[in-house]
Amino acid sequence: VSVGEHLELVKQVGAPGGLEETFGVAEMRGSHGIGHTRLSTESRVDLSHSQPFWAHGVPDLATVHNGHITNYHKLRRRLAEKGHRFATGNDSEAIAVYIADKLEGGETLEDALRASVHDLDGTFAYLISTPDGIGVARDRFALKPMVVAEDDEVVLLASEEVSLRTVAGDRELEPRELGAGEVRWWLR
Amino acid sequence: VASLMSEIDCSAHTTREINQAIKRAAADGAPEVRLTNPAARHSLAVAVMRPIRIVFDGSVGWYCAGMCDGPDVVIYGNCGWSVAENLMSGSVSVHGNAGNSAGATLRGGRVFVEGHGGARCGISMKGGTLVVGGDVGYMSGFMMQRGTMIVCGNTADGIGDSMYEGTVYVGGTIEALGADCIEAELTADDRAMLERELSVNDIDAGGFDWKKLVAGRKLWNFSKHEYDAWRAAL
Repeated sequence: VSVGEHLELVKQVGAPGGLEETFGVAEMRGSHGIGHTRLSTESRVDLSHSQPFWAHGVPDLATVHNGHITNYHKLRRRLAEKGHRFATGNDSEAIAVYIADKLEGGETLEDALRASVHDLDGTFAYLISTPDGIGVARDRFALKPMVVAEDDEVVLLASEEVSLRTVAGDRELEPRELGAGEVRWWLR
Repeated sequence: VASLMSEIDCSAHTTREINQAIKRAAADGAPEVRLTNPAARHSLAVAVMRPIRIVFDGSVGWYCAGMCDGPDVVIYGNCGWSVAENLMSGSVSVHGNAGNSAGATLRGGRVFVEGHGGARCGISMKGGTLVVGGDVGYMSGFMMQRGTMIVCGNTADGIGDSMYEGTVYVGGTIEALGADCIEAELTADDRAMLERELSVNDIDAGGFDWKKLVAGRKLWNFSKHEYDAWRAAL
């Protein structure tokens, strides 16, 4: 589906190779992209519960998340009271809605990311894609992995270096683990 | 995979085949095995229980050289989480950055990380020596019980939290000490040990402002008179 003017969201239940066969993801062109392979520990295994998530009613914003948001119900209730809609019972969806709420309130991506480290309980490492760029945040205990490698041309982020190596080919990389509670963002 | 193989191309083998080949080479008395194209793959060179030099040309993934007793492992690249976990003897040298929990539950031998370490470096160390050339992350040295940890760079919040014994040396800045971790006086013997240990990796110990961290020992036994210390730790 196309969500907004800039974001193309493709998902499928099954192996990542199937996504390429169905949608030809490798042929897509753009300034940035995020992806996720989900091993479900709770909630359903179907298209709506797979990632990336987008905040319903908010165009051009999507997140991928590894972890568990333990204050999900409280967060969801608070955001729903402000008029936000939720399409699933998945805690990762709340991150997209939370960031959307912050951005709609006039905060910058940096502010929203920094606030999330304190407002989200539990374990998380998540990426967020907006029309302007991409952001990443990691929980204060560094319980979920996230490595970053960047040079003058590209920024690569993944849970593990093995994924970076697959994408980067022969490019020289110096990946490092993101710190506890660290946030980073890159704008076009 | 033939035994006594001195070079293994990881891209042509499964992880199990690679580890079996390493163990066969060690059992056959091969002095060294070199592994190319590791591609940051997980669980390489685990449970090697004999002396042998194992060289990785490239980055390795999680749990590399875990549960080993005797080998000397050299990684020319980065490593993921928990490198050299529970090493009993031998050495592991990482010529790059390390992920979380490098040298976790280290019991003996020596681990060297040339670059930065992640969170919980040296968590629950029970012996051995862990040397990090760069910075270490959150809660490094957590619940350390024995051994020596040397950090040439800076530490994040919570260094040495709830350590029982052992010693942490920090050459850079300390963001915040962990619960019941205190600074002790640096002696001439400490300086001599630092010079000796770091010279192994061609690092001049004289170029740092060393701080020595030890357990405050207030958490050894519960006392209601130390209520604040316990509340902070828990």
